[in-house]
Amino acid sequence: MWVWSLILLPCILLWPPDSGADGRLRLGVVSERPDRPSEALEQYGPLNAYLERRLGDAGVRVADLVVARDLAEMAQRIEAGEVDALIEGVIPTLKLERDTQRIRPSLLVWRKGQRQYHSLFFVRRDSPITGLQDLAGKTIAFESKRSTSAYFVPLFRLRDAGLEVVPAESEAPSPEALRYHFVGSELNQAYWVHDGRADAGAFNDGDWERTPAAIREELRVIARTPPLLRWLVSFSTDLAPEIEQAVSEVLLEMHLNPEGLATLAAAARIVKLEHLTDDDRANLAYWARVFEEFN
Amino acid sequence: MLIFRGLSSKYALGIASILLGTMGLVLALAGYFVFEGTQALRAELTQSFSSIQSAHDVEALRTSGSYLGDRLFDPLYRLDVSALNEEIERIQAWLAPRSVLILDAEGRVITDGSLENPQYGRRYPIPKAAAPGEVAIEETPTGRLVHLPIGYAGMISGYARIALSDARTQAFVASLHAKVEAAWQGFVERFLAIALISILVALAASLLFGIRLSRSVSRPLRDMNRVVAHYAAGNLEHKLPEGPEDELGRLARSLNQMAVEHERARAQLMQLANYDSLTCLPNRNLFYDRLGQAIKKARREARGIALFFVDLDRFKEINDALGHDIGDILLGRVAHRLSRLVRETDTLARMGGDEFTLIVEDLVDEEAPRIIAQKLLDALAEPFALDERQLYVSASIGIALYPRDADSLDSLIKHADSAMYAAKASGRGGFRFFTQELQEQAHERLSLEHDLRRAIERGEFALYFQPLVRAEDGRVVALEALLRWNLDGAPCAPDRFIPVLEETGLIARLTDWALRESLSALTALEREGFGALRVCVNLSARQLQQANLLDLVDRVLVEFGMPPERLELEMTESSLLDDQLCQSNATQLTARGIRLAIDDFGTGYSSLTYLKRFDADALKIDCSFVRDMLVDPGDAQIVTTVLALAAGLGIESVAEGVESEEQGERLRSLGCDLLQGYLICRPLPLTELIDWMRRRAFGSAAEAG
Repeated sequence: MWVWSLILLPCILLWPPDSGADGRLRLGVVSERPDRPSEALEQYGPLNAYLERRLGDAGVRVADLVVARDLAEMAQRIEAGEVDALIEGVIPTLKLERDTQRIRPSLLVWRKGQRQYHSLFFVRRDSPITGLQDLAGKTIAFESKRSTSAYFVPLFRLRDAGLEVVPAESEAPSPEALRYHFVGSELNQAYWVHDGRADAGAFNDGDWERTPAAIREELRVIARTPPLLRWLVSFSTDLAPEIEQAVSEVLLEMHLNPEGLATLAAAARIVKLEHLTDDDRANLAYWARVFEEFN
Repeated sequence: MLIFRGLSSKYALGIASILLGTMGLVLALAGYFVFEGTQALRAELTQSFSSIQSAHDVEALRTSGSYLGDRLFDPLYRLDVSALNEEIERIQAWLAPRSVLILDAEGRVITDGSLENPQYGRRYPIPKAAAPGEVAIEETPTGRLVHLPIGYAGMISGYARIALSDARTQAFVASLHAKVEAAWQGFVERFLAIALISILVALAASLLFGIRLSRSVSRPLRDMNRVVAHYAAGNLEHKLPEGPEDELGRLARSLNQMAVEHERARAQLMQLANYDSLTCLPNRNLFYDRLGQAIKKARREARGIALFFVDLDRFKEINDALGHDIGDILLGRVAHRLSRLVRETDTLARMGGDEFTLIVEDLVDEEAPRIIAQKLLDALAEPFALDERQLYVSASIGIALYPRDADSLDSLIKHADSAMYAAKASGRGGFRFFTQELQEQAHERLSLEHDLRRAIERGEFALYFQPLVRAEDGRVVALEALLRWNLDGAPCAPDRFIPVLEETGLIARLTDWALRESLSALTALEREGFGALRVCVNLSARQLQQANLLDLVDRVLVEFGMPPERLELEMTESSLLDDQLCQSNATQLTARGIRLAIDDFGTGYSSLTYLKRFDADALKIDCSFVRDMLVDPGDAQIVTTVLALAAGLGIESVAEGVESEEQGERLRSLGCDLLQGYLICRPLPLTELIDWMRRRAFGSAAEAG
């Protein structure tokens, strides 16, 4: 019996841990349409396949895409060590980083032509509201509770401005409270404000540009938030540095070849990726503080 | 195009053309009706599909109205333009409408489905009294306008305004049309391919069928053609299958019958052409053919042939005496007897008349033909019992041998013939082989013949005259004209050249000349005062056969003004036996009053019948009897008998060849009327004769004086 123990002990000691260090990469995304997980597969499947092809040479095996229905599931998966890399917006990334303590933002993602953006607040052109303070006791249309630029960022800015912001369906809110609706899309936010169903709306500057001209002309911007990095790639803190290095190299060069460019465009309209600058990290630190403060 | 000249090719092409034409017509008609029908059906189908599609769209809209109303209600109620746009996108994908608008309850545009949404807020009329789920459809010039009320529990919160255009239907129809067109093209191509294959198959089948049919139809004709070609080539052994009782069967039977008749006729012709009808032996033609074949074969195999020429002796006399019928029967019997002696491989033929030939092949030595010849003679030695008579017949046989005597057909025949004549000349009833001597004689004869022809052309002949005196007083009463000829400056013996003149017929060319010379001599003698003598001219059988003899005699007598009784024509018995023309001419001559003398009487048959029939005026006793009459009692008896016969018949008797006084005295004592011979005078030319006559007349006068 003791002979078997002598044989097995070295094997147990030398057995590699179940982590990225085993040469495996698991990319994770949060579905924007929880009801349609296939959409996430359609969007990011090609990117995953691309990585698999490119990393095969570096001895890195890319596993199936991990699609989480929401942030909570993603946090759970990260904590379970099932995700090695993550593509998400700044606020969800900060939230997952804070909640799990197992991911670290690493690369900046250009998306929809933007490196960074800011959120703006708008009202109907004929509205008497001129500033954030005028929103007390009013209603505002947000996109969805996962939205960075059309929910979290404006929410933090409003709270930073001292407003009480509550869900519209809250029972017995104070008269000064600003009640918010989730209307499902930036476009709907514009229509809601235009239609008078909400007094104000907030989304990023890109959304503003994409708002139908006929509607936009009827609206007016009353406030803007500080800038925010467009999107981020974060790696698991458990991931082996050489794998992170290999994956980063592939991602950073993707936009330089047509196949990579097309793959990026198909995955959430990404233009390219680059390293985070010091300013970027400072910006992230700002938002991390705001998030901590007002979440 | 030679191959189309045959009847079967024409039939095959004709039948194939008809079949092909018929199939082509059927295919063309089928194709026409199928094309016409399918073209009409195409339009109907397109229209029908179009209508069905439209109706189906409307029906689908009606049945989907409630569902769409429910589905659009929530986004409309929540002013979820994004969701509405997605719904519009789905509707557009489903119905391909010209436009889809989501209107609010007052008819204002909420969204047209585009991000820009340019019609936002624009107001459209809305149908009245519509309830949620009830689809209002109105026809417009460009299609249909559908209003789908969106609401819940009777409350209308907006409308989906869907403008359906004909374009979709038209696109559908176009698509349908394109599909039908493609299918139609495919159908046409397949149809054409099938038609082409059908035509090729039909062509092959038609040709095959046509060829088989035409062959079966034309086979009897081809068979007939082939057999008739055989017939034409002379091969009549082929026979046609006669088959059923139809036109071809009857034609085949007729052709077969024709062939049988033709074969029979040919056999008869062959028999007539090659066989003697009297004896059934091969005739001269076949003999020549067989001999030619035999010589070729003998030459090839280095063997010998013996050719026998068999000529019956005195057959002419039998024929004349007993009639041609008996003569023919006798020839048949002779042939029969000879036939029994010859082998199957030998050829016994009848050359004509009483002449037979025998070809004996595969000859080993010369002894064999000798034995055969003797057997032939022996076979004929037995008498023939005919018409209650016993007829004795002999034959003379000449034999020539191949290749010893001759190596060609003509020479062999000629030599056998020569040998036969030699046998006959040397005493009949025997045989002779051809010898070199015979050939030399023949050559000599030929040479003589040549000289004689030239002599005739040059007029080298002369007439000598020998007087005939009355026995009782020695007075000259007649002259015999005798032909003389000098060869190479020397007189040629008459018995040498005259037979040649007679045998060759050249003698006939001298008749006119001899008559003129003779009468001219009479005229000269008369002018000299020797009174009315008569002249005796010898006529051979050939001359007696001359068709113009009577005219010739008449003309010469008239020319010289000579009465016919002063001309005496001498002819032998055998001349008169020769043929009908001789006899007829002799009768005609005596009828004119011309005297007729039988020459060399006693050497032949000495037939009293002939003397009577031809009314002879004189009998001339042959010199051979006269010569020996004083020493040979037989001859003396003959002379006595002839003289008695002449006296009995009351005709003049003349003794020829009187050379001695004793002979003259004896003849005179026996009552001979006239004497002729060297005792009186040898034959002399006219001038010398005149001198002799003068001297004799002078002598007589002196004697008298």
